Amino acid sequence: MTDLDRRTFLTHAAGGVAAISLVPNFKAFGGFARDEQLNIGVVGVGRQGRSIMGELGKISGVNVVAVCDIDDRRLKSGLRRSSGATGYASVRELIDSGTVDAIAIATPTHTHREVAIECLEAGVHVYLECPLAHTREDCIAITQAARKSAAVVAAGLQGRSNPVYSLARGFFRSDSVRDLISMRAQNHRKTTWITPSNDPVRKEALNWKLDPARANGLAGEWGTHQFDVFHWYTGKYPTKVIGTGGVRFYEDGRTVADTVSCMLIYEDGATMAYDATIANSYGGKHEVFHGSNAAIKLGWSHGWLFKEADAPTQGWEVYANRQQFHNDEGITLIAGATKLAEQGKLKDGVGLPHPSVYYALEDWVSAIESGSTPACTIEEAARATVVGIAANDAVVSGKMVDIDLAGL
Amino acid sequence: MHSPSIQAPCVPQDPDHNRHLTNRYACLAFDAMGCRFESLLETDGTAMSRSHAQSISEGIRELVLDWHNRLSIFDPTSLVSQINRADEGVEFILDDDMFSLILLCEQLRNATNGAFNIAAGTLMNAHGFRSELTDTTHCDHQSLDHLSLDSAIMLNPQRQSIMKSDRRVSLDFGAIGKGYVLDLVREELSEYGVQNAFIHGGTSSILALGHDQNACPWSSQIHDGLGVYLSGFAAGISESNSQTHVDDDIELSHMMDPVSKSPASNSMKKVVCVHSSAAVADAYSTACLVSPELIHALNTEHCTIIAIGNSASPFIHDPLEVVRTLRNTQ
Repeated sequence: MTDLDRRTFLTHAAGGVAAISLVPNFKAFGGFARDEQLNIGVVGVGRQGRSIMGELGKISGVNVVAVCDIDDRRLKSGLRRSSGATGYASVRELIDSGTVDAIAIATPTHTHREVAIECLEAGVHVYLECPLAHTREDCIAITQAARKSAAVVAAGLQGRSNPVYSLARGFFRSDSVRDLISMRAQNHRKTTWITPSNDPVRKEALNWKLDPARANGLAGEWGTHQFDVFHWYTGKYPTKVIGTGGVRFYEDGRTVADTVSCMLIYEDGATMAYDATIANSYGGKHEVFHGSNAAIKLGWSHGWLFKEADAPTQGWEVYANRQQFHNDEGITLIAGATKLAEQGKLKDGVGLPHPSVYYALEDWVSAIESGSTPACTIEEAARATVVGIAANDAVVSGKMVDIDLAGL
Repeated sequence: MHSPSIQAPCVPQDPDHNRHLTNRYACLAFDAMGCRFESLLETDGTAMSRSHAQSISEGIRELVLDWHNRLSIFDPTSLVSQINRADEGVEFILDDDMFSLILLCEQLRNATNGAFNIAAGTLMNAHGFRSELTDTTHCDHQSLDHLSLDSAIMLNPQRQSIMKSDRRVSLDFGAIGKGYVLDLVREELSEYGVQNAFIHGGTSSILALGHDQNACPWSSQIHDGLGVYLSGFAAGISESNSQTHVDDDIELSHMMDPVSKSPASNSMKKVVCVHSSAAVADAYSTACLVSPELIHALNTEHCTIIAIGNSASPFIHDPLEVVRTLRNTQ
């Protein structure tokens, strides 16, 4: 055999295909139930945008027909993640092509206002990644545009559509936790937050997260997603926040803190402690509700209930799957547990089969189909984003900051 | 490119080796695809250069994790895990990159007479490997008699889609995925102008570009006292006993022969393939371990196979005479 590498192979791919079994009629297998395809464009195909493309590809009846990015290299990369999509360098061109029913937006946070409003005014359905925007004013502008639009507008706070989170919320709301004592969340991930480029202009554009004028630090960019989980569970919003943070590890001239801690304070005195870092990954990303009867820990793909010894026992717990965490035993929260238990497959349900973003997108697509309200509305996303902005302000200023949700 | 060779280290080991490495290279380690990836990217020693190289390393991590999300059977949310859970006939539309990889796998399957086959995961399930990852209720090795792994998957190039021919079929990219992503990493490093770098995935897939801190080809220990020296090449390393499973009191190798549909005979202990493509190196090393008769056929001007027999005295297969055995040279 002659030399074969990936590049040379690709030029001869057509020849290779001949050796592969071909299937003439896929409809016979019933792979896609929907008669009509929902044609979607993805705007912003960096890491999150490409992830969205991958998950949209798993949803029955969805066709990613267009990809848009002002960065040529990312656009090419995004097109490789599609199956025959058309590339566009501007949102206007994409909209004017008339090829899409809906648009998923995953551009940098500070560009959301311009892109989202352009899409909403064009009447297409919109999925907008979160945080919603990088200023309170932009949040309000996007919210107002969404209210005027007849389209289905979903925001990417993914906890609200996550099956494990929905299940755990049922336990939370049904008094399994009993008196809420405190709340805590963290997001620890080891990453530099730097995107490489040899071109200084491009590097500046790609590394918006390290520019305080264009982004809201760890508390705003990451915290927003987790703060919303607490809003959704408790139905309450914090009114004040204190914070601290700094560059603890990356001595490369950055000013955006690589490690932050915040305390969000509720009207009734309840608190939610939050910390995030990009210098250590221990514990990952999770949220915890501490109650007098039990604690609930949520880890995006998994969830657990940790009961106090004096909490009443319920019948279903006998059959529950459990995991040991040092001295604590967690009851694994499994979406669809009853059905799985009947099939003797309860253990198979531990952990979600898809990443969180899949469920958010699936919820959006279902809402478009049915005309219903998506799990995460723009209004809720605006409130969570403003809490995140306030938390970042507290980290940057080192002062207590009031959280103003009036008008949102 | 520097021809792959096996030779003694050209400079004695630096006693302050690790500190020296940290100053000279941007180092990054992370877990993906069921193993640990590590990368060393040369810098000029200045803080600015280290920061730039570190950001390129971050790009490497992002790229590898992107493919982990698609290929890893250790991640239940990956695309491949989803395909493996699906029934026969369920169609998955694939993106350009993923479909290209599948086509490459099919071409490599043909080139190795079926010894490399991504559907070999079916056999691992049937023989009790990875039962914690997969529902093997309907899959045992006797039940596979009528299942041909050569037609285990069906591709539709027009729709750029894949489907399984049988629900028991399980895809496993473990014998090519790490190498494939290293080929993409190489393209990325080339775009950034990185000339000297060393990256490996789980020590079984290696990419070595340029030279090391001593201006020598990069060295990698592949077997007792035996090192392979690489510059501009990739190496894929397959071992017969790196994972075993006991079935009916018999210790089975995880290396499955897709043709005979049984665990590979253990005549080979380890096979190393040196090739310009890490994906091809990965696939060929697996194929040669499973089917040692391929060693002669796959050894070409562009591909060096080093095979180590499973006996007290290993043998080195070296038709091009570019390799030399220097065991215990230190």
